Amino acid sequence: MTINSPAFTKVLVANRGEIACRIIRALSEMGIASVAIYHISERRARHVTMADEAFEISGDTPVAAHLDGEQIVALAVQSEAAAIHPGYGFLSENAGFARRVLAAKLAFIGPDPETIELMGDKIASRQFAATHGIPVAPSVMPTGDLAAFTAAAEKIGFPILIKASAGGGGKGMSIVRSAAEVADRAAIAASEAERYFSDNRIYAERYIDQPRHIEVQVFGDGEGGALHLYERECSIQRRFQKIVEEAPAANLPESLRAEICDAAVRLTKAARYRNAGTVEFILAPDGSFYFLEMNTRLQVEHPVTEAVTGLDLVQMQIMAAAGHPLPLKQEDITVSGHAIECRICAEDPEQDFFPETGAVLAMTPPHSSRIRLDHGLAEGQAVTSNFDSMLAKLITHGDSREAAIELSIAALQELTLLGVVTNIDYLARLIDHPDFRAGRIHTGFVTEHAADLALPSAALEDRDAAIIAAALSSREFRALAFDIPEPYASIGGWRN
Amino acid sequence: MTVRFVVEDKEYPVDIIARTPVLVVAIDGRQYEVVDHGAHKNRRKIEINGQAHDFMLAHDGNIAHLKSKNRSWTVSLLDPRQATEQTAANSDEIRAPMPGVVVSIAKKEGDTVARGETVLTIESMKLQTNLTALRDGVIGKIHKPQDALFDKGEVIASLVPETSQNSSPTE
Repeated sequence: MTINSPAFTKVLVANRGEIACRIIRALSEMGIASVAIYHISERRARHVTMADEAFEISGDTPVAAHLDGEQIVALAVQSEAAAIHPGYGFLSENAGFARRVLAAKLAFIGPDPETIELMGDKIASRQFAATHGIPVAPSVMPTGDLAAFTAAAEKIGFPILIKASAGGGGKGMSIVRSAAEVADRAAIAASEAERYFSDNRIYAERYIDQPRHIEVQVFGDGEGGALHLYERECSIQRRFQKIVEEAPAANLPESLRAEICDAAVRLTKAARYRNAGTVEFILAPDGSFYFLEMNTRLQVEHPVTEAVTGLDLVQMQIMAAAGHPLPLKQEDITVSGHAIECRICAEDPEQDFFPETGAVLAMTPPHSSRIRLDHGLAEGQAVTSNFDSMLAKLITHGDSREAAIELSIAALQELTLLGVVTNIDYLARLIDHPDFRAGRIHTGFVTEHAADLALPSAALEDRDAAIIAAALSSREFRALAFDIPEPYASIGGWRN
Repeated sequence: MTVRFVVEDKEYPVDIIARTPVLVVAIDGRQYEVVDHGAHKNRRKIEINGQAHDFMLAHDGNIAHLKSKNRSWTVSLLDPRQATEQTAANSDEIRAPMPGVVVSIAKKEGDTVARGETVLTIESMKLQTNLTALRDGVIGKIHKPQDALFDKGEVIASLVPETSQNSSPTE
């Protein structure tokens, strides 16, 4: 089979938002029909209008609808789709869902259920990595006994990081700096883990001060063959979640890059991994690195890898799921230039990044061939707390890191998303920070530079200018200033 | 002539100092010459004291969302009722937020009113506005009858003063 004859004629996209749009675009470029799913609350969403067909799904909440695997598989069968792409989040790392898809004689665009299960358990996957010679951080495994856990934790030395075995997204995670805190924090982490993942197992590992988060994009053929698409740096995080990612990692010595990528490929081969995956590592300031976890799905930040390698990961995923062999050899994959992704979120950086709601009243994407804006937004759309606060991803690709930084700042200044508070201005300040520019970054960057990154108090004239601009758009003010009758005076006191 | 706006929880009165030959406004006493180059789609270009400004702008009811190059703003048009509430030192008095005419009267002297209840409706700049009681009480006097004209800041209605009501022996 060649790329011109994909095995699938139709694929259901079991996701929403920007990633559903991203996958639908790949399908359309491959000449494959797409099926979207949507909860009634998002019936006018962009992914619904982009897809060739769309079906409503129901549930107690919009999220519950998107987690209803049985309903989604039934829709795939009904619409005669041959495969399901789960995107990220929702059902993407749910082995039971993958099994259900396969049982319905559909292809699951992702790894085998057994691999999802193995890597989904943070403790089992760590042990698997250690067995295959991949470095893991010194750690304490869960015991039923809190006293033994505390004693063992003390032995690895403080600070330690407590994590949920079934974890992800920072839930059930906590940094503990002294023995006195262990018992309390362990109990909190375990109850959080129980609440979020219905699995109260927690473990602890040495917390590396000023660590960097480096991950490797891998691709496996399911037969023990694997290659990597180089690394991404995802150290810029808030609330344990990434907000800025880049490829390649800044100031990473070539030999260390090779070592990290090699470790990732070894793990991928050992797991007989199929399809796209990501191996995450923690890199300590002394150059030692430790396996963190493997994500058995497409990552949010995959576009930076696509930008520098020129490959389309989603199309590769679809071809692989259709039974095509890996389309290229390791030596064919090269990195060109530097890419940065900024996650545009509905949140207030001045209020500890608290999620914000509102509406997309107006959106102006930046214009440049070196800028990619992945989003699932339609003008007029409500931004609710029903789903994740990420609205869009802004990806720039420059010839160098410096060029990508300048492109990103210009793009963030140009990007307009009115109607909801976002982190756009904050991200521009962050990318412009001297330490970011110098590549002096680690996962505590946002906290360390909080004062520098805070919204500076506005110059009097700037604030007055904004007030005057608003006044000039106000019907009430214009009537006073220009005495223009407003026969079409409508809702609200404003006009454009 | 003043229109009030709120930015980051602070109130800013915008006074129109001159309308011709060029619009001059003052914010907290700072004067600006303003040239409006108009709005196209969501973009408004203006000149303030000879300097060009470029804003992206969208509205949601009384709230304007703006973005300049480095900064986003949320500017709320202060509701005339709120303006009255915040500027009138005396909550017994219901004052005109702007010049206009009394369109209708909902309460008569001696009626009890609850805070927020409409006492009368005025029309200013072709816009009808309900004037509401600022506290629970009893209408003492309606100063402006129906169709009466008034200027900004004039007392339109007033409540029976708090102290005389509180002197009730059952308290």
